[in-house]
Amino acid sequence: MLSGVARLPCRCREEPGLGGCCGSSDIGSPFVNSENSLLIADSLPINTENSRLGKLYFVREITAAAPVAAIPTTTARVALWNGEPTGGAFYAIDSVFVIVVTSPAGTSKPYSVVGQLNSKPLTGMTESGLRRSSLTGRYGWRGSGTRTVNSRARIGLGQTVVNDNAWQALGTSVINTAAGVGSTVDFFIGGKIIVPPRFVFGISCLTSSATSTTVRLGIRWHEIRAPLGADS
Amino acid sequence: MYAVLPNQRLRGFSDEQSLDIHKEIGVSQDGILLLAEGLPPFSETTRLGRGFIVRTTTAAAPVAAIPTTTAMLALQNNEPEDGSFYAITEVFAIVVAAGASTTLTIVGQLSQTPRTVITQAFTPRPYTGGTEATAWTLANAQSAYNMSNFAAWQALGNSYVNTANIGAANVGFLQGGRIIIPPGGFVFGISAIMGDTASSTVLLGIKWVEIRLSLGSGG
Repeated sequence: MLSGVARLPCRCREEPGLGGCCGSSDIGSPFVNSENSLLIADSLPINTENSRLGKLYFVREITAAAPVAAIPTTTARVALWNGEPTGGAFYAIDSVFVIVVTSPAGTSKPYSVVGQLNSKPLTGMTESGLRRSSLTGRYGWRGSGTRTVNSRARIGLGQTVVNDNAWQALGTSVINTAAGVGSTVDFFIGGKIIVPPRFVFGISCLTSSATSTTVRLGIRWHEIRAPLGADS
Repeated sequence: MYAVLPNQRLRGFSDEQSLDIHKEIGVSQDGILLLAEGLPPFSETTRLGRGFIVRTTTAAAPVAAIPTTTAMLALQNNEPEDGSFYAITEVFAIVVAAGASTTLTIVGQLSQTPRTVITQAFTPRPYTGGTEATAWTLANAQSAYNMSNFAAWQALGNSYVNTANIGAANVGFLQGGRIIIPPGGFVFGISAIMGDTASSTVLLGIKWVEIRLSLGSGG
């Protein structure tokens, strides 16, 4: 049995309508298809195990602010700095998101998120004090009594970063229509971007004209203790 | 490495191929184990566990901004502390009535501590059919629930632009278990945001699977 994983109970004995794991077909050898590929099936929803294993956090701006009208240079609207010591956990970016708070009446506008992982480490970064939250409620589970996440991450707002000319599109933009707000972007990165210890990942929101617009940005990340490959 | 093919006709195999044989699991020249999804991607999680859906029954006006404390639909995990976790697989909204052409999205929030038992206003239905859901799940769901706003509301997908004066639009945001409601009374709440709140109404829904697992030691 895998560490930390409880064996699923044989539910069908208690709840016949659910099927479940009691059939003889549940016990046996793995199958291969005609192309010799091992047949598999996800036994958990695709993101569950990553959330269950451990440190998945998110932050979101409390104060809405104007997006920018061009690809940023040296300012990251929200910056995530990995405060782990060398050899410590890396941060695998799970997703980024933006919520449009105000948008000018009578104007239809696009909103998108861009990001940059700096190529060199920083010795430190000013902490904004933005609240971190867990996507599993782990710090309130079983009455631990604390709601403070245990992370060395620092979150910077309006952080000056090196312009590595590597700002990249993160997902597909959305259109906010002329009537009120209601736009969001939630782009799943799935660990494609990794922030090593002492490195910083910054994001900003783009729109066609920043006049009369405000948004709130957020980042979700996993903290994972594993060695990076030699070429990283 | 070998796998056993049983003496039966298998999906995707000819009769001849389905004979009782030992068949080697393929590995590429680069040493990569060859895998193939043997079921549609969500079938196994539904089959293994308890997959449920709950939806509001009365269309309500969306909100015009990020909520402060009120969730239009809240789902509570009332399992005992050592009971099942709820892995949120999807949230959705259906536009019933709309005024102007406007954007539609859903934001959500997970409580960070257990909450007192909430009202059971909507009946969960299982993915696998049947009407005995109330006997199979301890989930409670209600509308207009005060989340207390400890954690921030977060975007759960990309918004959609609805055409003016037309209902029947919807958004469905796959979560894939990214958000997990622990047992013991934790609550996950969602609300719909639209530009037009005067003429628009929506129905909101949450889908989840109930899984016996334990949170990892990370953190």
